[in-house]
Amino acid sequence: MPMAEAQLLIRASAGAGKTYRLTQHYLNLLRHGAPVESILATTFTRKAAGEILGRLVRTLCDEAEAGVVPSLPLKPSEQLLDEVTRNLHRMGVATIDGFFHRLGNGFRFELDLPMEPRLIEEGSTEAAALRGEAIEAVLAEAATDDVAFGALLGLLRRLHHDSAARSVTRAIDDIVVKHAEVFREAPWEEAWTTLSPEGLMDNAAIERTLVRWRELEASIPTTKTGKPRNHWVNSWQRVLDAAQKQDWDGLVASGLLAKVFVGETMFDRTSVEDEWLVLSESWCAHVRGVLLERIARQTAATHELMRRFAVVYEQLRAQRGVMLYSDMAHRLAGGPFAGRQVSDEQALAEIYFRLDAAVTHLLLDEFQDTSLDQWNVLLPFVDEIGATGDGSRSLFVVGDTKQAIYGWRGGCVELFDSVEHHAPLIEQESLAKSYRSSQVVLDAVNRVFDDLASCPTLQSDKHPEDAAAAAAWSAGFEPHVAEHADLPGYVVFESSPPSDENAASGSSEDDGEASITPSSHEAFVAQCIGELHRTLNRGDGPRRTIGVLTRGNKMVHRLLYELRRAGLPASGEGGNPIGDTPAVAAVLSVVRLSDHPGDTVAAFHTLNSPMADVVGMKRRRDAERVARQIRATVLRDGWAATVANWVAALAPSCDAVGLSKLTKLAELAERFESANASSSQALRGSVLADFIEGAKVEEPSGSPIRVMTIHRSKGLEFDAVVLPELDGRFNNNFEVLIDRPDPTGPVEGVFRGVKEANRSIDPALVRAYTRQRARQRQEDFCTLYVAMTRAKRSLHLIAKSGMKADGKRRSIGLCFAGILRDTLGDPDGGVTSWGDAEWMGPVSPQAETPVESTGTTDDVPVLTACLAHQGPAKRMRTTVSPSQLHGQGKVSAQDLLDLDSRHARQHGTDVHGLLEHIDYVDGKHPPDDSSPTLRSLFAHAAVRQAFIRRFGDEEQLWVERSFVVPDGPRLLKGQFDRVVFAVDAQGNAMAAHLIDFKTDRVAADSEMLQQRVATYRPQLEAYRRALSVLLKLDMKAITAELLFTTPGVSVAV
Amino acid sequence: MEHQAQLDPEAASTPRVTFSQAVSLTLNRLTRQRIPEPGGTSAVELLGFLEMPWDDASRVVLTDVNEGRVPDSRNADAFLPDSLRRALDLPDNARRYARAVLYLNIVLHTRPAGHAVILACRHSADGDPLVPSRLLLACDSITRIQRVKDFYPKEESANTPPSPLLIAPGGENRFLIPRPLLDEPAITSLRVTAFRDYLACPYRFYLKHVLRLGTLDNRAVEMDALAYGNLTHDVLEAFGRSELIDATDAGPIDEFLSDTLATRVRQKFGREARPAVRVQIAQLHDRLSKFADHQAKLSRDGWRIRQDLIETSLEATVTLDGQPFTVTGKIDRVDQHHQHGFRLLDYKTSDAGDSPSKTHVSGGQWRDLQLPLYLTLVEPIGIDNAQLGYFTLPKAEANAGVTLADWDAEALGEAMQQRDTVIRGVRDGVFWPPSLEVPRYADVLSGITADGAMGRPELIAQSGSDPQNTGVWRER
Repeated sequence: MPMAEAQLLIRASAGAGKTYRLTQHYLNLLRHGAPVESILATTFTRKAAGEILGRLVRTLCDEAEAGVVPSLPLKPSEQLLDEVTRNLHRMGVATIDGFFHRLGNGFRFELDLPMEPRLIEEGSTEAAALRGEAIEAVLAEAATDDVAFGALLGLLRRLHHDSAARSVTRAIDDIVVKHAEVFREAPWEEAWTTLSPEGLMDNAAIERTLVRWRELEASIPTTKTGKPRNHWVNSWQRVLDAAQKQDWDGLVASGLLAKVFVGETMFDRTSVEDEWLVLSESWCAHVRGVLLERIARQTAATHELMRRFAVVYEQLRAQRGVMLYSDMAHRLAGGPFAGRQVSDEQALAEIYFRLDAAVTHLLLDEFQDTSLDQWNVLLPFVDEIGATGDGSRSLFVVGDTKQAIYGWRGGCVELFDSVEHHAPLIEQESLAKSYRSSQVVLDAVNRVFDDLASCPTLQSDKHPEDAAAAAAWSAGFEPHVAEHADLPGYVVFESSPPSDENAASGSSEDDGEASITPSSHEAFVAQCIGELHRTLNRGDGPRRTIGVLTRGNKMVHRLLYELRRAGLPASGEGGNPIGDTPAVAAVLSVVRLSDHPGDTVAAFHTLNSPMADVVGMKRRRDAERVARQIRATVLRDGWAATVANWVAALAPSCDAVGLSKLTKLAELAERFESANASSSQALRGSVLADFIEGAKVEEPSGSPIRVMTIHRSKGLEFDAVVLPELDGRFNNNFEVLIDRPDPTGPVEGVFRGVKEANRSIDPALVRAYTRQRARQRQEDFCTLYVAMTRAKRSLHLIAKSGMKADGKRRSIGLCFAGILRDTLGDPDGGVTSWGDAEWMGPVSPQAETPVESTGTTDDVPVLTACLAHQGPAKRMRTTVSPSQLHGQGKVSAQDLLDLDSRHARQHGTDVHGLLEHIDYVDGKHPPDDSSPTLRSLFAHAAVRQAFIRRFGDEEQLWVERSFVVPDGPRLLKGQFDRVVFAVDAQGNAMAAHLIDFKTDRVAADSEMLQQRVATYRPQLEAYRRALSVLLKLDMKAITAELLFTTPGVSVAV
Repeated sequence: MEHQAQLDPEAASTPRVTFSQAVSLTLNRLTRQRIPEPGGTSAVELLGFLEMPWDDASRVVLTDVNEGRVPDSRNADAFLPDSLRRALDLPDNARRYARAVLYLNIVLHTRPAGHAVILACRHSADGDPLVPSRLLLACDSITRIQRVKDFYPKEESANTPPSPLLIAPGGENRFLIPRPLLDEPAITSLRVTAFRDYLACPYRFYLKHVLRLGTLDNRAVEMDALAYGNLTHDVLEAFGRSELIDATDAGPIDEFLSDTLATRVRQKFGREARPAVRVQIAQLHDRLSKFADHQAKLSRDGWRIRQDLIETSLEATVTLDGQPFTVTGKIDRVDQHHQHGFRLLDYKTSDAGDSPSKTHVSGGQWRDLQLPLYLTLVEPIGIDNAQLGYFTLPKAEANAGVTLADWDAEALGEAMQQRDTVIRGVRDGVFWPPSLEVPRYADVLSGITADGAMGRPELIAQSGSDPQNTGVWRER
């Protein structure tokens, strides 16, 4: 059924209701009768996908409740809700990875995928461990022969600029991680070997040139006073030194050679004479050749390493049945989806067959984060929809180019433009009205981004691409307007007090320091956050959230540390590690001790914590025994049960927070055990301890202060946002330069290890650098935009002071603070603010209660046992047979040891088998078919008597009848030898008689017989009870007899 | 055992075993057997959904009643997508659904009302959103609307209550930082390398140098910094004791170092070192070559290594407050020049090759006293006015060589004051409280010292004031 807006591309701003529009579009499709399985909506996080689905269902539900009935032929909401809830399993609202996973399953064999691949994150410890193995395998392979090993060493040296790092594994890991993405995109050698070094002089030529260069000293241009010109002297000397030392770095970046290199003939306002020019050009050519060769070698070495590594790594992944999330898109893009055309209907039909649905409606959320691989997989669907203009198929693309912060993960914002190419009929729309933020916050956003290009910070003669990137960025920016114009809000831009540290902030992170010292800036930030928390969350009202957003993880850790020290309840996104909690740390020490009883750190910790009592450690020398016991316990019960038992025993020594962390520990142990069920390594304490220490646990108590990187904050919103890390310089040093002329096209060149000073030696390098820098800048702007737009009501920007401790100004440089100072003003003179700091309104005095200062006072409820067990379990009845009941469950030793018992048992079975076939006899003669055994049996009057009718013609007979009946807490299961009973006209039993045959070799009137009767009595009683249940007959109406066939004695019981 | 009993003793294929083999075989089989726990105990039993209909427990809690779990469904497939399965009358999604409906009804209808609880979670343990099971929404429209509203509330509360505990906590945290038990005789001597640890944190110093706690790990795939440094020191020490000590030509030195390295490596790692270690050794080889170049040049420049002082244990007595205290240590090498006097040098093999100033002083504070204390060490042997420095062998070969410290008399005076502070503290047994500054990267002691604990200052205060809290270790 055709519908309007069948193809729509929306460029939305932050908080403009992207999800709302997407949901509405989805509903609209349903109303027009699109079957759920024909709609595919993809986004990037499971959280977002869940949110979309939830909104869909909830909206339908609200409409159904309100009785919304649209005009025909649209479907009414109630009917839709019914359809949707019936087909929840067919709804294609998924993460793009999830959808690809489904696709991959369908093409498992073509793609050579493992049967049920386990998907892991690139950043997970599991992936790191796997890489470690792959690296060792690469090294081991090379180590088998000396030539290969030598080559490998050379390779590693070249990788590190001719130096050798101690930690081999880590150094290689660093490289393979950094180049994984580009190698995946461009694994072919050609892209890594585009440089061709030329103009190199051999040593003899260098010597000759050097001789001539020395002679030039006499012809250095002079000033009017006749003194040699300083710049010339310096340049001449520098070349001389460099040539002698063969140290060519940066030689053509400044001075005379720099001018000659770019083809100029003037230097220091003096023209360059011929001999100078000729020699300088030779040097330039040589330097260029040397440097290019070095870059080329390093790049080729990197490629070689990546190639070797990739082979082994892929084999390992296949062996373990593991896939990386990015693997799937790449396999699909390179596999059945490569080069597919719309005309290739057969191919699409195949895809639809295996998906078990034809995707005719495609909804793409957060489109700016789509990678080229992902786009290539989606293209067949897009093309098919794009080629249809009748509205029977639809395409809905929504995203925000201003929030494209996942470029490093492959996100390609330029794909926005290629959508139009594939779907020419697509209509475009933009959304700039914010449903999230106060206008005060939006005003600050507008002030910063409306005219980025004019920021003095971004002006640079050397790098005009910064300003150009800013201009391009601002061109796509529409001033933001708040939907709720009167919503009060507050923005403040302030700076921390000047400190010594500020002087060094220009250089990169100060890794050198061995310990965390509470730096003045971070302490100031923590203080600000504390005050903010106390202001926002005073009183009993709903807690207001504070998002503290940083650029890097390092700052997250430092701030978390600082906040916790101050007793503020803060949590990191993705959760916090629990190993920091003293109770958990003590358990981990025991876990480690189990692995290494000689680990005195672990032993001391165990001995001096409540764990000592739990594991029975009384003194140091118990370590060996304790470790052995734990290992035995773990071998028997596994880690999960062992840890859970410890936690229960430790509860009395804990406060609520400690115990809740211990509970998390027990859960993690459980998860560890189920994930590593097949690994014997997982029995090792160190392996478990490492897992626990690396794991992060989300705290459901939801601390109001959340510290995370800006990247992780995407898609979230907070009442107040604090940006404490504004002074870190933007990254302009790219370890690997990637030349991709068309942002959506293939990689054409890869260059590794290009020093800034050497970049100018080749136009390809300059081009690649400029492009990459512009791209990086755009992403920097996006990052700041995302950070600022997370705020609903208030935004707190805290920069470092522009002053050094000694009162001098410091240079701010290319960073967020620089841009903010340009656009919002200088915070050093005092706090700069907009809006109302008291936006949250007054707190009623009686409601005012002090905000808790430490997280330890949080009340953690204790679950009382509502399913408490009462009385004996009324389930799983144990089954007993009446014969088990004789002798009160005891068996006489004589029976067991009787060597004849086998024979006796056989005899018993034979007798029962014979008697089973006999209904009645006349009381005088044995039955017709008379075997000798039968004849001897029926020689006894008592036996003959047992086969005579007792209750006349209405008598019923059961022979060898099996039964199962409940008997108190048990199930009674057995077989009656012979039962006769009388029934009345209605078929109800009136009276019954039961006979049990015994083949014991006992003599009549013997004491033995009496003993046997006593032994069998409980069995017979059980038969009577069973019969009573089966015949619904009172016990009194049931008689029973034991018939000892050997002596021919009948005993009524 | 029944299987074993059924073996035909006459058959040729039946293996002949001795009695003890038979016993161990049987035991072996038995230990690997797992039997379900007997029912009827008071424990809560966990069963899969598909086993539920056959369980007669009077009360049942069904968890995970979420779409994809109960019922599960499979759509995409390489050969048998669901519609084809249906067409072929193979088990398909509809049948899975029907089975789930049946089982759920059995569970519900075989118990009194209220005795079966169904849990459908909104989020997984990892925080991912979940979807309610279709089973729960297959109901009349009013109930369905109510259930959807319950599952997807309009405003999900930001204040999710903390998950409740199953056991009641004791109330007070008893996991403290064990306070030092000072029953040792006072410390009267200290190595120059240990001062740094006391300055960083007296309590960590106590754990490391008084109790001598250490950890163990056998999972390394390559040499760590310590092992790498020790190996280098070993080789260079051998050089210092060799006849080549004054050689002015790099060649023989290089050869000697190379041979010594090879021998040491064989002693340490055997013939089959792990590949990463082999690479490390090859790289160390390069660093040693660089050393040979620099060493030869130093010799040519007139510097002589004092062979008598190579790795000699030195000690000096510092008298403080009228009491003697011994400072001990070894100096990697003492170089002497006829004009320039003495140089006290320490080999450094760290990748970065940091200068002495960077490693000793930070934020205007002395963090390490090793090199200044060398001056104290050599005082008794009559060396004064010596220069202090590192012989660095870093990653970048260009930065290899001697790096001298540039401390003036005033700075060194401050270092000596720090020395005295440490000596007084160590002598008086001042190891408490732990420093509030913690190492940037958690180390093996971080668990004991509760580095990352929430509200650590309060924990330290509590640990300090609790009379019961003293760490026991030594046995007498």
